[in-house]
Amino acid sequence: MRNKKSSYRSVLMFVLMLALVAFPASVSAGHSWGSYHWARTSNPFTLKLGDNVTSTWDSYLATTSADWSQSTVLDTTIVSGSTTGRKCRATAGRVEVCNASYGNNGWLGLASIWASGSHITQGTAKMNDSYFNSAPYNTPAYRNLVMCQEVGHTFGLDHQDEIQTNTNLGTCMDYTNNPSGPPSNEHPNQHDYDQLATIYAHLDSTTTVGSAPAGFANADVHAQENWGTKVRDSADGRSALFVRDFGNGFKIFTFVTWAK
Amino acid sequence: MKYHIQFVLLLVIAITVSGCAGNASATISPTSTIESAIVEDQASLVAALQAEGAAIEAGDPVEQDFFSPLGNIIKVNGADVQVFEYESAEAMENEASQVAPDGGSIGTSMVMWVDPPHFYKAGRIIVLYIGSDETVLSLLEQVLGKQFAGR
Repeated sequence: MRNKKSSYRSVLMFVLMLALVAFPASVSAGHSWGSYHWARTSNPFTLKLGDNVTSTWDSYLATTSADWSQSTVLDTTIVSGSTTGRKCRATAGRVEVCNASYGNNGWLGLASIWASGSHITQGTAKMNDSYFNSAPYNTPAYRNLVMCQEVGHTFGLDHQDEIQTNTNLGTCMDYTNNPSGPPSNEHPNQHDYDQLATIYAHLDSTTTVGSAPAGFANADVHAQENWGTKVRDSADGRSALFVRDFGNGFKIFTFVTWAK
Repeated sequence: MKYHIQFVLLLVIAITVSGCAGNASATISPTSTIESAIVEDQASLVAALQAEGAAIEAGDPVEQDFFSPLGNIIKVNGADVQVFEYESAEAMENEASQVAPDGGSIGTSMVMWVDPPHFYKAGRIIVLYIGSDETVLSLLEQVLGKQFAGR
């Protein structure tokens, strides 16, 4: 009996080891950025990329837009930027892409998203010319890598790998000290497209893609009838808070202090 | 016998007292060393680093989208180290908690660093070193403890 149990365990161990060898930990493990994604009611959806970059960066933005548009679930289109490279303020419903000399603060690129829960409502992608204006970063390969990666983050993608010194994975979502490779890390790879398909496999009941709701951007807040619903009065009655809800997470809060 | 016991007792007490006195004098230095090593803000960080033999120079201000205060660069043995000083430890901890363990993201910002980032915190400050200089890393760890995020 004891021998049978021992043999059974040995067989089980062998089978487990065989399974590990046959199905190793995959390099294509998920690389989504938490559960962040743009809310939309249908696929594919089109995300606008606001062009606030200088002429040096235009071709790289165009390449990035074309690359990511090969996805089955999203397309990108380049539109005029709504901000400046320096300020790089976000615009609801789209991604503003910017470059400027942001200082020797340690980063080449910075992608930021704003979210309502897990739904991305706006994003920015910044390229730091404080580094790109000099070696080793003033190369097409580095510009492609960083532009592609930062814009990719605004879709809800994380890095595939964060070790700069190992062999390139062949994707711009991979850290590297040698973006041209081989293999090149200047463009997305199939795993990025597969990950996007996974992130955006479901549909939402609302959308955060596109322009802000009608009337939001230029809302007239001078007249009290445009303030929406009063949600709070101060104890002394001298001030109040109103909220006007435009839907899809767009709200205008009006704080008022009454004149005596 | 009685006197013998009393003598031994006195001897034990004497040894104990002298040992305590010796320890008391030994604890003064560690206490003062511990007090001088407490880092609460940029000024005490600089003092602590200098006490460890680091060459410190003032650098430029530095701004990061993901940290509220305007920071300062201090050069530690020539390497840029960013220091962000908050109004309170609570405010500092609130923002420090947004830094991912590998330092690759802070809140809803993803960062492509030029070199491995190293985040430290103490008192009211977050300290960020981007680089791989072992001497600088050792100095920072000596005065700030282990990094709380980074690679």
